[in-house]
Amino acid sequence: MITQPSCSRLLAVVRAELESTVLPAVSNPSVLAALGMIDSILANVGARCDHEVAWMREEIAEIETVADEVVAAGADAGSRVAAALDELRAHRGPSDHTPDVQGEYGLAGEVLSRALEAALPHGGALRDRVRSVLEHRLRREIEIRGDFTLVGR
Amino acid sequence: MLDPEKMPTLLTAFLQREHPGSEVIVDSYEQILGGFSRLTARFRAEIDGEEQWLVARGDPPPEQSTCATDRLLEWRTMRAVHATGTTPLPRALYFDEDGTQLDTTAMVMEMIEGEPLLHRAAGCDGGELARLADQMADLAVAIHSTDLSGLDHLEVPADWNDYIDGCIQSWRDIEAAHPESDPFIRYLASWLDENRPLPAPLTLVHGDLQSTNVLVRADGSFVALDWELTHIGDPREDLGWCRWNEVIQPPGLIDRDEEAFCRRYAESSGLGSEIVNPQTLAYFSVLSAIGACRVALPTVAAFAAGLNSSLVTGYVLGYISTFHQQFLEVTSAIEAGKAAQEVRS
Repeated sequence: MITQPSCSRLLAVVRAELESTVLPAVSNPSVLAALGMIDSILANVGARCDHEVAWMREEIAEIETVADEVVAAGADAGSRVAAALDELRAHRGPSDHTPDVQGEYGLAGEVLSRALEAALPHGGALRDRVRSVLEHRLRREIEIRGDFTLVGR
Repeated sequence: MLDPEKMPTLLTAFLQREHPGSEVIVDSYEQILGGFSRLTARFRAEIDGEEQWLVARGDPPPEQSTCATDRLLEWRTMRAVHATGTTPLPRALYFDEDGTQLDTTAMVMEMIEGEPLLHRAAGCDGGELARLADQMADLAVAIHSTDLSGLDHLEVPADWNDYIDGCIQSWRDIEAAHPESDPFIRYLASWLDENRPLPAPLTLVHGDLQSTNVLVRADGSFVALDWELTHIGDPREDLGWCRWNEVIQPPGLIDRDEEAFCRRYAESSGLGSEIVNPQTLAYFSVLSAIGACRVALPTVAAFAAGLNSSLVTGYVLGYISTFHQQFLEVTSAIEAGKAAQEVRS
């Protein structure tokens, strides 16, 4: 397969062409709004495509670590975090194909959700620790999204 | 509405049924850009020689839907609120409930001449923005003062705590129904439950009060549009939602001086500063996002499954990241404020 130029590079060229060639030829407000949305979506895909699998793998590992800390701290009332962790570890993605990793990432998301629910009433350093994983996730989302204001308004 | 070429013919036949024996002419049909949720268009109608400019507002086809809301509920609400005469809004005139006449469920309302408040605000200086912010507070008070007796099609919660319980449960329900886990929503639901503000009397809530849904008429008066998310709830939802939207649609009216905005609203509504203040407004800025997420996330799920092909839905993913960002920023800010208050006392 041809890997160079990269997907992100190809998308960057498409976006530049839309901006320099297509956009100046358009005056219809509905089409301009559609172009704005297309550009935003292409920018998001461009930010994801080179890193998505690695980012999900990194975050899964981070979530497992913090969930183990919640369990070890005795904050896992009802063993809900432990149960979600067991589910994750029993259903690892069988390959690095994106849908497989997305499936594993979804299970890790449930682990993080339960860890947050357990740590929030617990308070203190444990709460801050679990929340820091959520903040890390947000930083990635913002990196993918970039600046965002609604188009066509 | 789905085929703009056919609309003058369909609207002519539709209006002829509404006005039997009348001569009806429809022309100048033109789609309006602005709202993402519904198909909207303006057109000129002549009924027995009397000219009117009207607006048609209808559902997109399911595969293009960006948020699922109920046109019948919106129609009934607009008719009932208009009948009270206390809140300025367009008069809803005709309704094709089953979509057999206009090819989709749609209503026709009077067209209000005016400029979107967002555009007006963008061209204003500080003093003028302050005046617009006062007017926005007054519009909110007018909506929240609506007599509920004509709105018996809207569900009335048992009490404030019951209502907030329902909102928080709605957050959990939409997260559970989504194809991937969303820890931001789960965190928010727990946080909202643990940080409830003082209760306020339940009122009519517009549900999507923001500067793109307000028209400024030539005389400077405001008109509220888009009543599809209206319900009975906490009036601070509208204030918080308006504040939230200022983040992605500057310039803001509230954020330029939140204390002044809250003071104006608190005094005019009679709720007082214990109930309406920047902290409670911040709480409701994230709680009220349930209205948009409840209708938007199912279409994102449908998009992921290949059942929805709306470009808007793909674009809305950036909107969801912005929700996540707001959830963390607002909850952090409120907690920091509480911690600072505890240190002072």
